Order: sequence, then C-alpha cells, then structure tokens
Amino acid sequence: MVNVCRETSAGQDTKGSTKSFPKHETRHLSEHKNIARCARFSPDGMFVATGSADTSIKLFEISKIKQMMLPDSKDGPVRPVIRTFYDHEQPINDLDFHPQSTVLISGAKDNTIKFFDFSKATAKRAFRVIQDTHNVRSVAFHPSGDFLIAGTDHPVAHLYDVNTFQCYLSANPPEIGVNGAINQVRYSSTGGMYVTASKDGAIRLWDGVSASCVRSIVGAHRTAEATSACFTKDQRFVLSCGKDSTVKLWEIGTGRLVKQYLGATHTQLRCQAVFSDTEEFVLSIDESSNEIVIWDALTGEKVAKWPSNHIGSPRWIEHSPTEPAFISCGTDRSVRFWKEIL
Amino acid sequence: MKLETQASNRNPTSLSAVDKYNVESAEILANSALHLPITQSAPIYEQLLSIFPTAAKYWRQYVEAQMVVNNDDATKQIFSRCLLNCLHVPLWRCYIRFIRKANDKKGVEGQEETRKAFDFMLSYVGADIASGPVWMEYIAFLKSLPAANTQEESQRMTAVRKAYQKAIVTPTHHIEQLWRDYENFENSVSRQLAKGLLSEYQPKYTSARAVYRELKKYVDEIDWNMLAIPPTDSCKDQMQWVAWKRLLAFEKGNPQRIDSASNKRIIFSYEQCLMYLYHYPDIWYDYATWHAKGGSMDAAVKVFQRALKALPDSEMLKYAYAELEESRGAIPSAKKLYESILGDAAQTTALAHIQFIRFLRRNEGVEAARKYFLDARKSPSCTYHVYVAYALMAFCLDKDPKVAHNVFEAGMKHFMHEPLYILEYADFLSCLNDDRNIRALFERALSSLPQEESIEIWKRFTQFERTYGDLATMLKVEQRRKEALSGTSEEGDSALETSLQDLISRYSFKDLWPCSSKDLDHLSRQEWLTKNIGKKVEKSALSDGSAATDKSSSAAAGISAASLKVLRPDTSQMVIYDPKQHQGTAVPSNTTASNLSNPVASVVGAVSNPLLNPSVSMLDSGSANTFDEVLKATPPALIAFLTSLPAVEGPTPNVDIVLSICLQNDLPTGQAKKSTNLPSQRTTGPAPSTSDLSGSSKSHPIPRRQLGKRKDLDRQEEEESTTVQSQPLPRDAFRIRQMQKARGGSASQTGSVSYGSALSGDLSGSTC
Repeated sequence: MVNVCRETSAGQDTKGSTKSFPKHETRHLSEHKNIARCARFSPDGMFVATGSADTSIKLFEISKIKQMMLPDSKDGPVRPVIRTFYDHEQPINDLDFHPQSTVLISGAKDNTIKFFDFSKATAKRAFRVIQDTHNVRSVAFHPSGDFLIAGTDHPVAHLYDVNTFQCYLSANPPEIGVNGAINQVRYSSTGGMYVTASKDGAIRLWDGVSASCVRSIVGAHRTAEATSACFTKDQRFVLSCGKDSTVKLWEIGTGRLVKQYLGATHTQLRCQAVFSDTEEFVLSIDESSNEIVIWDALTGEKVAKWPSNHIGSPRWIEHSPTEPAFISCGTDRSVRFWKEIL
Repeated sequence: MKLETQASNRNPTSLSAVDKYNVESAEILANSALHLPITQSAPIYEQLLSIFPTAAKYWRQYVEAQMVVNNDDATKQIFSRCLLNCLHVPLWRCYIRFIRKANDKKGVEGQEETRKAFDFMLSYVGADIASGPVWMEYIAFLKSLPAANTQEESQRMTAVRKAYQKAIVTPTHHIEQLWRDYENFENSVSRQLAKGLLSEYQPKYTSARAVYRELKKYVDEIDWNMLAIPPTDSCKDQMQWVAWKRLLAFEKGNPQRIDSASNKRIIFSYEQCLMYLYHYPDIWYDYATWHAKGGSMDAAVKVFQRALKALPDSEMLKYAYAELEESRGAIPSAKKLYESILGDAAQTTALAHIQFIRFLRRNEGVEAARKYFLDARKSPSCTYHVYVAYALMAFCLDKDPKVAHNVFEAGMKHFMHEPLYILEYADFLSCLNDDRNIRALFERALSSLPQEESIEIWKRFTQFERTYGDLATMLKVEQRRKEALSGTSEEGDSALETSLQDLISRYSFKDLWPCSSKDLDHLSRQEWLTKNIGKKVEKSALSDGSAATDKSSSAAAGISAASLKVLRPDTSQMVIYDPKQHQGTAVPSNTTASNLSNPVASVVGAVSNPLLNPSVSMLDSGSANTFDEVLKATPPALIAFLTSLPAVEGPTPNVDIVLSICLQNDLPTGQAKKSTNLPSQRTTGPAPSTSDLSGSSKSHPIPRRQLGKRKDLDRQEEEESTTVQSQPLPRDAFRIRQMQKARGGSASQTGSVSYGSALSGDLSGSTC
C-alpha cells in the first residue's frame, strides 16, 4: 500500500499571493579539477558534498563555509573543504548521506557505489564498495539507513541491503522501453515510496515496501529525458524536471499535473529542479541565459532570475534541507554557495 | 549542543538595548572622536566606554588622546580605570610608554619606577601570545640600565637572565627570536656557563614553542577587534563563542605541563575572554565555578560580583552566586542576594518567593519560612505554585501532613479554578492515601471547572480510579468522562462508545502493554482514519489546482509523528538481482523482467571466455586493482600498438583474438598460470565477502586503467547526453571497451559508445 498524503508540511499558509524570494549572497567555494557534476546536503544541513568528473568528492562543512563568507572574516583563510575522497575511476554521478551516521555514498560511471566514512580525518578511500552491473547514475539512502536505492542504466532501480549488499529488484516491473535508464531516484521522507526519473521521459512511482510500480507517468516530459524528481516533505507531490525545459509538479494520489514552472530552458544537461528548505520556492537553471531561476511553488510565478556567476551554465543545484542556502556546481569546475543575506 | 545552551542563556534584550549595543554606530562615533579636540571627545569616549567598558581599543584611543595633550593626571586616572579589566597588550604598551616618558628624566628613582611598572605589566599581560615585544622591550630596558661597578653589572646581568628565562617559556609570537637572543646573551656572558644553562632551558623552550604553535590555531580563530555585545544569534557571534570555549579548554588542559603558572594562564584567558564575551552569563559562571572548584572562594565571589555588575539583571547568576555563598556558609550575604532577586514587590516572581522560602527553611528554620510564606501570600505575584511549594515543603521536609493539608485547603479558596493546582492537591492526597478526599476533590473541581479546562482532571480521575477504585467505579468514571468531554475537539463524536484503546489503557501498566506496538500503530492509524473520513473529500478538493501543502490543521499535524514512521522495504516481495543465476536460462515470470536481465546474463556468459579469466581469478583474491596489473604487465610495445590502432566504425575486426594471443604470449609473470581451469572457479561463485551481485560482477573486470586520464574524462563528460549508437555491437562489449580504453585519447569517436552501457546490453540494443 502506498502511503499517500498524510502529513502537512509546515510553513505555507498563504495561498495566491506570490512571495518574494529573499536576496542571497554567493561565494566561490572550491574548484574541482574537472566539471563539478553533483552535490548533496546532509539531512541535518551541516555538511554538503560535491562530486566531480575528476573522480573526486569534496566534503564541506557548512559552518566553515559560513565563517568563510563573513564579511570581516579573519585574515587566515578558512578552508571549508574538510575531506577529499579519491577512490572512483570514473566521474561521480550522485551522492547521498547516511540519514544517521557519518557515511557518504557515491554512485559513479565506473559502475560502483562507494561508502566513505567522513568521521575519520585521514581516510581518503572508500571503506566499502558495491559493484553494480551498470553505470550508477543516482543513489539515495532509505530513511532507515539500512537500504539504499540506485538508479542505473538499468530501467529498474536496484535496491541494496546495506548490510549484506544483497541486491533486489521489483518482482513485477511494468513494461519499460529500451530507453529506460534512470537519471534520478529519490526516496520519500518515510521511505514509503521512491520516484524514478528516466531517459524515456517518464516519472515512475514505486512502492517503498514492495518495490512494485504504483504509478507511471509516461511522457511526463514528453519524449525528452526526465532529469530529476523529488518528493515534497508531505509525500503528496513530486517535482520533476526534464530536458523539455519544463519543471512540473505532480500529485501522487491522482497522477495529475498540478503545476508547471516555465520559463527556464534546460535541454542539454541533467538539470535539477529542487525545493527550497520551506518548500515555498522551486529552484532550477536556465541554460541559455546561464541563470538560476526561482519560482513561487504555490503560484508558479517566476520570482527571481539571478546570474549563476558560473562560466557556462551550472550543472547541478541543490538546496539545503534546513536553511535558506543552496549550492550550485558548474561545468566551469567550480562550486558556489548561496545563502540568504540576513 | 553548546551553541544552544549559550543561546538559551541569553537575556532578553529590548529593542533599545539592542540599539545601545549597535557596533556600527559605535565605530562611527569613535572615529569621529579621533578628529575632535580632547575636551569635546572626552564625553564621547566616556559614553562609549560606559556601554563597552571592556573595549580596550576605545580606552587606548581615549588615553592616547589625553597623552597627546600631556594631560598626565587624566591619563593616570584613565589607566587606573581600565588596565586591570583590559588585558590588552597594545593598551598596556601605551601605559609603559607613558610611564617611561614620565620617569625618563628622574634618574635612578625613575628607572626603578619604570622597572616596577614593567614587572607590574608583565605580571598581567606577560602571558599574552602577543606579549613578545613587551618582553623584548623589557629586556632592552634592563640592559640599558647603567652599572657603575662589577657588582651592579652582575646584578643587571642576573636580572636580564631572569627576564629571558621567563620570556622563553611563554608561548608568544616571538618565542623563537627571544630564544636566539637568549642564546646570544648567554654566549656573550660566558661560553662555559652558557652551555649548561642553555641545555637546561632548551627543553622548556621547545615545549613552550610547541604549545605556541598549538595555541596559535586557537588564537587565530578569535576576533580581537570584537566589541562586547550581548549574545546574538548571528553566526559570527556563535563562532566567536565556540572559539573562546576552545581556547579556554586548551588552556585548562595545561598544555605546557607547568604547575604553578598554569592557573595564572587560565585566569588570564578567562579575563581576556570576558573582555569580549562580557555579556555571556555562561562564561562568568564557568569562570567563577572554576575558581570555586580550585578552592579560591574569594576569587569566585569576586568574579560573581563583577558578573553581576556586567549583567545586573541576570537572575541565573544571582542564584549561582547565592548558591556559592550559601554553600560556604556566608548566609547573610546569600540572603542579601535572595532579597535582591525579590526586588521590589511589583516585579517579584512566584519563583523568587519559592526559592526564598526554601532558602529560609534551609538556613533559618521552619518558623522563618512560615513567616515569609504568610507575607508572600499577600503579594500580588503569589501564584498557586507558592502554595504548592510551601505545602510540599511542610509535608516532605517537616513531615507535617496536617500543615500541608491546611495549606492546600487554604489555597483552594484562591485557586479553585486552576486545574494544575487541583492536580497537585490530588497528588498530595494520594500520597496520604486519602482516597475519599481525592474523590471529593475531583468532584468539587469538576463541578466548578468549565469543560475545556477539565480534560486533565478527568484524565487523572480515571487514572486514580484505575489505581484505587473497583471495576464498577472505574468504568463509571470513564463513561462519565466521555460524556462530559464529548463536545470538545479533543475527543471526537465517535469517541463516545468505548473503544479498544480505552481497554488498552485500562489494562496497561507503566510501560507494559497488553498488545504489540504494531497493534498500537494500527489502532492510532484507524483512529486517524475515522477522524478524517469526513474530511477526505474536502481535502482533495482543496489541493485542486495548486498548493503543495496540506493545511488540514492540528489533527493532521498531530498524526504526522506517527506516519513519519519509516516504512522499510520488504525484500521478500522482490526478486534478488543476480545476473549469474539468470545466465542462459529463462528468467522469472513475465517478459519484461527477462528483457531486463537477459542482456546482463549474456554478458556474463561472454565473460566466461577463457581470455578474460586471468583477471577473474585475481579479482577473486579481493583486490580490484589486479586487473590494472594485467594492463601494466602488458609490454609497452603492445600498448603502443594498441594505441596506434585506428578507430573503427561499423564492423570491427576480431580484436579479441588478436588481443588474446598477445596477452597470452606476453604475460611475463606468474599471472598467466592461472588462466587454466578458470571457468569452474567462476561457477563455484567465490567472492566470500559480498553478495551474489558483487560477487558475480567481480567477474567483470570493471576497474580499468585510465590511459587517457582526465583529459579523456573531459570528453566523456557530456557523453550521456549525446546520442548513442543504438545498433547492436557485434562482439563482446567488454572487450570492445577495453580496446577503446587502450587506444586512449586517439579514439575520440569511440565516445559514442557509452561506457556505462557496455555491460548492460548493447547486445539487445538497450543502450542508455
């Protein structure tokens, strides 16, 4: 059974009138040796990690980033990067933090998922490795931390038991065509569902308990690739982004398109559309103008368009789950932090 | 967390108080004072310093302004006001400049004065990490003293030596230079003596230098320009607080392993810290308790007195101070503090009354406490808490249930309408086992309290009956409760009939339940569902068209904790992903599944080709890098040959055979030995450490050597978005990839074949 629409998400009381997105300041954080491909915040918002085509992963401590961004920061430069991991042989595709412990996982083109323990200052290598059969495009921990799900070139997500490394598949997946590689997989807050965004343009919702597909939104982004998908905290809606330059909000219970966030072109990269921490806003990227575009989540109105400050369009955007701050990763190899000006 | 304790210790600051501590306007004011004549700037400084009494930079600016106009008396006066509170090296150097100037022309007497001033200064700020130049100046000064005869000369030398020896064990920025100077000094005095002395002091200096390096890390975190403002939530303030806490913890660890001086260093650090965190009660408290723990009560008392001067409104600090005084027997002084907490009648809190009554009871006996209670009753700030506190004191401490009962009864006159008071009273009565009176009390309260305030009373009443009553009274009270509360939001209409939940609560005891937690979850979910049966329709209508939120208010918010329960995957409902198992055979149930897994299986099948087996066996031994060894073992000539191979579109020549011949011929090491009999090894399924999946996939030599390195990766970067050649490739995809790899950078066209898909199913054409 799918656990749909039980909770209220906090904060959003007004309806109708478009809110304004607070001003942010931005700062260049760090530079990879190749394109910065992905970023992920830890669930407590204390850390953020970035993965790159140079096969490295950098781990940042948010408090250090903030310290670095202080206007009168002390002369001694603060280094927000607290760990760098070099263990993959191919570009990093996605990252996730363990919900409880100090473990970071990465999925990479080298068909592996690697586990890094960032509590140790010296460890640069993974302490566990899952060898998958496919390019691991997306990884997400189950909220229990005992499972993880991997989206790969395989059209069905791979569920791994973290303790035994046993891999499970849906027993009865729907018919998926040849172009079913999964661009992104994300769990809902309770683990009751997960969502996949595929190259065939479909968004599929899967039951977290049985792994059966409970809803396929085929053609969610018509024939263009669906590049990202994530749940609202109340598990009632899914936000998806596609190479058809649309960002869409779907109601899970009915599969209905509830909202569209238009006006940002993204046709090339694996573009992300994400919620702000309060879910009041939706953030994505306009590739042609190299801007970060922000919509009011409720009204769908565009509320801000900011130059990304990257050279060339940013590749990834990820918002902090706990505070008004986000991170952008660029094809220019750099990582930028954005935070609300207080 | 540390930060939270700090935040919660914060005094509520009114808006004007926040304005008062406006750092920007203070800086502007101080800057403007710089350009004014002293007569005009003095009041500005006085004003600034009344707000920031520990702002050494303003003191210094002020005193320098006075010094410029040679206002000696005023200068002295300012120094006497600030020096001891501001352990700030630049300010103190200002002072020494002033002293030296004043004593310059006074001959021997003046020199003696100056020396005293130096000693005075170094006893206060000599431990500062920035005190290096002061030590140097001091030593230079000592050296410059005239010596008329050899005796005086040797006295002077001793003084210089002493100064050096103190300086080189102090972790300062200039410690290395000081050591070099000291070496030179000793060597210039006497080569023979120098050796012994230097070797004695070398280890002390080395340890001080090591401590300096460590200390510097902490000191660098601290903003020495910060003005002391009350704690805010700003990140910067919190970081500063953390930085200071770290520094203090470091000093408390006595890093230099010195005995006597370590306390001095800690005191010094606290004093400096309080210059900046002047308004932080936690620092004051830590400092005072540190003193008290070390046995120096008087010092602790002094710290508290200063703390109360800094934070006159902090009740916490007053209680802390009173506690210290009381525990060391200084009752009058503690009493004075309590009285100051009570303040004037208008602002007294009930808590202050209660604590004072307890204090009196402890130190002056029952009668004094009673007297004060009688007075306090008349105070407008006397709440039911005071009655409860006094009654419980009489009951628990004086063992006098009668007095306690009377107090509670007296309180009933005033607090009949306070459900919490009723509950306290009932608790007290149940301690007496006086069930008749408890029932009477409940009935009395329920008859007078409005419905919405009686929920808790009802709850306690039913609990009481569960403990004291028989089955009939128990059920009766529960039924009465339902009827009484049926209209409130707390209990829905449906709750009127007895539910299973009531039974559960009747038959559970403490943390023992007559059912499993799963049952409980189930029941609460059902309850929630029944509550929302009516709402369902309306809710979906609400979400119509927009709104990523569910605003169905408090009921749903209450349930969110329950439904946030994590749902775990039930792997028994899934199939185990095991490419090996599927090899060559039909795959479970439906067609799509076989569709998905067959490509993998067939790749695995291809892998069993003997060609690749060497790497298989080596991978089984655990190291993923062994395949790289194979490539490394490949002679350079072969690599060169491979790299110069042209990139081929369309049907490829049978490179496998070429490569296999090459590999088998040229492997010089023992690795080639293992190439026999390997199919059987593979099927026995080695890989002990991990699951089937990883075990089986280990038979794919996935780790590959990056000949093209990053340049190559650059190119692959966007390959996932490029269109991929979807026609089936003719041969084992793995080996094709190996070849492409080996060809390295020269074969940029090969980017059209996705690496990631190499294993998955180029054979079936399902690339990307």
